[in-house]
Amino acid sequence: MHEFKDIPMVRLDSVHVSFNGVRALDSISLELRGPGIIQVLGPNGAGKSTLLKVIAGLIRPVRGSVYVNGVDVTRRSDVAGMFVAYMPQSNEPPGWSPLTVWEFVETSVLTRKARWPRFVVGGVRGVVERCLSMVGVPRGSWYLRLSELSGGMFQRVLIASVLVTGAPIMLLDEPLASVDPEGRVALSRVLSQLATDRLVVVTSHDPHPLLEHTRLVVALNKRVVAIGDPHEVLSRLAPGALYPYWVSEHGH
Amino acid sequence: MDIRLYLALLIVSLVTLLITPKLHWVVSYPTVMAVIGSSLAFGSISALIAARRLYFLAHVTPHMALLAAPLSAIVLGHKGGDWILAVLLVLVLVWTSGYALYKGVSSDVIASIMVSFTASATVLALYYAQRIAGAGRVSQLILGDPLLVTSFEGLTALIVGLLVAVFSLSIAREVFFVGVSRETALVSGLKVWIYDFTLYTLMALSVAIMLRITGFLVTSVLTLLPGAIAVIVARGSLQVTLASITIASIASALGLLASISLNMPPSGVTGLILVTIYALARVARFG
Repeated sequence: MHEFKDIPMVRLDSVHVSFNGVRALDSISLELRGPGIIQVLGPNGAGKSTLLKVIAGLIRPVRGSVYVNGVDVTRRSDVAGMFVAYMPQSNEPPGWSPLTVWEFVETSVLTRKARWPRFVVGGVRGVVERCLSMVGVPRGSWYLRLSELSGGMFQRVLIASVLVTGAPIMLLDEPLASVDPEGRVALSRVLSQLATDRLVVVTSHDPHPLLEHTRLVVALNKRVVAIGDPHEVLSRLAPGALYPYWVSEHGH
Repeated sequence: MDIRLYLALLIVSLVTLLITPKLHWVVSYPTVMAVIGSSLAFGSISALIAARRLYFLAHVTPHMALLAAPLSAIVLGHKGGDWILAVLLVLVLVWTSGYALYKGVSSDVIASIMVSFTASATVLALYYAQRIAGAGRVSQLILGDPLLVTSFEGLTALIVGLLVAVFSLSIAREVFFVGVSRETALVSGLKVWIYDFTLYTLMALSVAIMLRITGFLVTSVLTLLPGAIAVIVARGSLQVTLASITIASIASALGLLASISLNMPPSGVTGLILVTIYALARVARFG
């Protein structure tokens, strides 16, 4: 696995994002330092996915700047990609894609490590095998098409495609959403292992599967509502600030 | 199925096309070169279109080519070189559509505007072009006839077909990857716009150059169905692209042979064969 001289770090300076005049993120200033898991929590439309896309350089903020490991990556996904691997939110496999599981994960690493044309490639077989096994994709599914997978299995493949890059910063948009309870426990362990030497930023509606592995929680609702130690943030949130049910689960 | 099977089938269909002039004197080698070239070009580009779900492009590009051909004939008259001008016009129109898509315009809107514009302008262009090029040439654009191609046209089609196939195979992995998640591809450092630009360019070249061979009416079928069938029967970017080329070649070889026997236009028979293969593949896979 990778070793990093510098601490993986993301910094957002007064980032505003809006789509067609509708505010998505409002004056976000954050510094996320690794290693460790950072959970971004919030209801639908809170801007969780937008936050990850801004960090990945996929969305241009109206105002503000984004720095990854000290490098300005604002709207520069190619530069962000030098430090960041991104897993989009996806509950369903692409129904038309004839790409196999193996080729998808293999291409995720080849796009970073090999030049065009990428016909004959060596040296990545071991790492692809290791990552697919680590996230619990059975060997029998490696040569299935993506379209033949269940939603949960596709999500595991997406996580493998991020793992295989070896990037120091991983942005995972609801990685456990479609995974069964047993799989959530297993994948939570995998993510916590990875977070020993990486910064893993995870968005979620439900903080509990990853809670014991989480170093920091960012409660988001277009702006940062709270940030800090997971238990502290969850218990001090005002009733109904994000989700009423959290409050009841934490005894308020 | 295995890649070796598709390669074997491809070789059989190409050999069948190559020996056709020995068996049927009405078929010349320029015709064979044109048919092989169009099979290679449409087969390979069709797989990429299916992987990126750019089916709208397969619908609108033949409309653009049908406008460009008579328009360039009107502009250049009898000076020659109208092929080159037609290719340039199609390239501009395809790139414009691609840029609009990149800027967030929906594919339905682009298709509606482009088809409306090109169809209306084509009626006017064909009206004037008939006086210059004659009704026979206009009819060839619409119906297509590989039996009428010249040696130069046949050789051009073969070279373009080979180039399009090689380029398509070399970018298939990346294009299929972008088809799954454009955002992941962008963050992984892939210059997605270069692959899109290459895809649009290959599409424009294939359609503009092959229009006289396959005809406007069947070009959409040839750019849509081989890839759509390959996606059903094969897996993996290389295997799907190769399967798509093989399917296009088999349909072209059968279409040419059947058309000679039945005295029918080859492109129409080829199109119907592709529709039949598609129906059979769907039934075989999905029941």
